[in-house]
Amino acid sequence: MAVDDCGRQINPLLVQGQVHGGIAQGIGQAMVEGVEYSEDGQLLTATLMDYAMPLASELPVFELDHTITLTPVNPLGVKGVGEAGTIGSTPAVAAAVADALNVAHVDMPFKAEKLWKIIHQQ
Amino acid sequence: MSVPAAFDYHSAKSVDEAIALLQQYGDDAKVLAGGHSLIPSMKLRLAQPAHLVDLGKISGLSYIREESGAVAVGAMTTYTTIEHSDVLRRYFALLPEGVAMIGDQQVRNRGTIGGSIAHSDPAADLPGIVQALRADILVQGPNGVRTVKADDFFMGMFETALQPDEIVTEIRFAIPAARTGSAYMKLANKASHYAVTGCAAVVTLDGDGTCSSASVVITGASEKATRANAVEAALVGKKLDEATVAAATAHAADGLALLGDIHGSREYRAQMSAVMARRAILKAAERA
Ligand SMILES: Cc1cc2nc3c(=O)[nH]c(=O)nc-3n(C[C@H](O)[C@H](O)[C@H](O)COP(=O)(O)OP(=O)(O)OC[C@H]3O[C@@H](n4cnc5c(N)ncnc54)[C@H](O)[C@@H]3O)c2cc1C
Repeated sequence: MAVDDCGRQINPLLVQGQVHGGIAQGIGQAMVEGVEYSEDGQLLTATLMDYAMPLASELPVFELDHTITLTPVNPLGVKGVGEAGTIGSTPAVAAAVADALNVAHVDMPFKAEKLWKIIHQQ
Repeated sequence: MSVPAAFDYHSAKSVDEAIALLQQYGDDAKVLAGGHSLIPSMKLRLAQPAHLVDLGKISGLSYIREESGAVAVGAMTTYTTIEHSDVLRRYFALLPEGVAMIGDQQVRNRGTIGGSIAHSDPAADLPGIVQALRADILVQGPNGVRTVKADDFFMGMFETALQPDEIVTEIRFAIPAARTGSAYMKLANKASHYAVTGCAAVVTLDGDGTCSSASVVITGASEKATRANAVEAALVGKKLDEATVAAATAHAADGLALLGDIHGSREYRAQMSAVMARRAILKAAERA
C-alpha cells in the first residue's frame, strides 16, 4: 500500500505508473540489487546475468492512494512524482525484514544467503 | 566487449553436411543451436570460433516421439516445446517442470535440449535432469552414430564426451516402471535464473510404498551435475517419509568440489543442495 502526494494530478494514470515503477525499484534495492567487486577490484556484477533486478512476477499487487496538497510555488500546484514510490518502499521492506528476524539492522540487499545466515546464527 | 569477433556462417542442410564442415574446419568451428550460451560467450570473446555451423535449418532434428519403450527427443527441440509436451508430462514430470524454470520465455523459445547438454554448464538444469532419468545420448560423427549414457557424458565444467566433429542428435528416455515419480527443484540465481543449486530426483516405489530404486543428481553446486550415490543408497529399501528423506539428504553435497561465488558461498550451496534434494525426493515420491 502506498500513499503519495504530488500535488495536482494532471494525468492520474501516469502518476500510478510512476508510483508502481518506483515501488518496484525500491523493493529491488532492498532485496536484490547490489554492485559487487572482487578483492582485487574486478566488477563481479557487470551484466544482468549477475546483477539482479526486480521482476514484475516477483512483486505483489500494489494498492495506491493519495492526498492532494497543492504547492504554492507554481501556478498549477504540481509536484514531481518520478521515483516517489522508492521513498517509502525501501525502508518498508527493510523494516519488515528487521522485524521478522528480530534484529535492529541488516545491510541491504537482503539476499537469501544473508538472511539464512542470520536465521541460523540465532 | 559486446560484439563478437568476425566469423563465417554456414547453414548446414543435413547432419552429414554439418559433420563434414566440422571436419573441414576442425578447432576453428563450432556448432550453433539456440545460440543462448554460444552467442553470449562470443560477445564476451570467451569463444572466438572462425566458423559457425548452424543446425537450425536441418529438418528432422526437432521432435518428441514415443517409440519402443522410450521417448526420443531430437537435439534441436526447444525448451518451450518440451515444456508443453503431453507425452513428456505423462512419463517424466521433472523434464517439462525443469525446462519451465530455465531463464525467461525468450531463452526458452530458442534454447535447445541438445545445446544445453553439449554445453555442460555447471549451473544448467538439463544435465542433472537427463542424468537423473538415465537417458541415452545419441551422438553422430564421421563414423556413424554412437550412444553415450548420460552418466558418462558430462566430464566436467563445459566438458563432455563429445569429440570436436560429433553432434548430439537425440536424447532417449526409457519409459519408467509403474509407480515412478520425478521432480526437479532449484534455487535460482536471482539475476540469470541459472541454478545456484538444484536437484533432479526420480524414485520408484513398490506395492507397499517401499522405494525400490532412486536416482538423484545435484546440479549447480559443483563443476558438473553429479549423481548423489550415498543419497540414493540411503533411500532404497525404505519408505520415503519426511524423516527418512531428511536423514538421507542431510549430507547430499558431501564429496562434491563445491563452487563458491557471489550467488552462493560453498557453505550455502552445501546446505541448499540438501534442502533441494529433500524437497525433490519428497515431491517425486508423492507423484509416484
Ligand atoms: C539470460 C539467459 C538465462 C539462462 N538461464 C538458464 C537457466 O536458468 N538454466 C539453464 O539451464 N540454462 C540457462 N541459459 C542457457 C540456455 O539454456 C542455453 O540455451 C543453453 O545452455 C544452450 O543451448 P543452445 O541451444 O542455446 O545452444 P548454443 O548456445 O547454440 O550452443 C551451446 C554449445 O553447445 C554446442 N552445441 C549446441 N548444439 C549442439 C549439438 N546438437 N551437438 C553438439 N554440440 C552442440 C555449441 O557448439 C556450443 O558450444 C540461459 C541463457 C541466457 C541467455
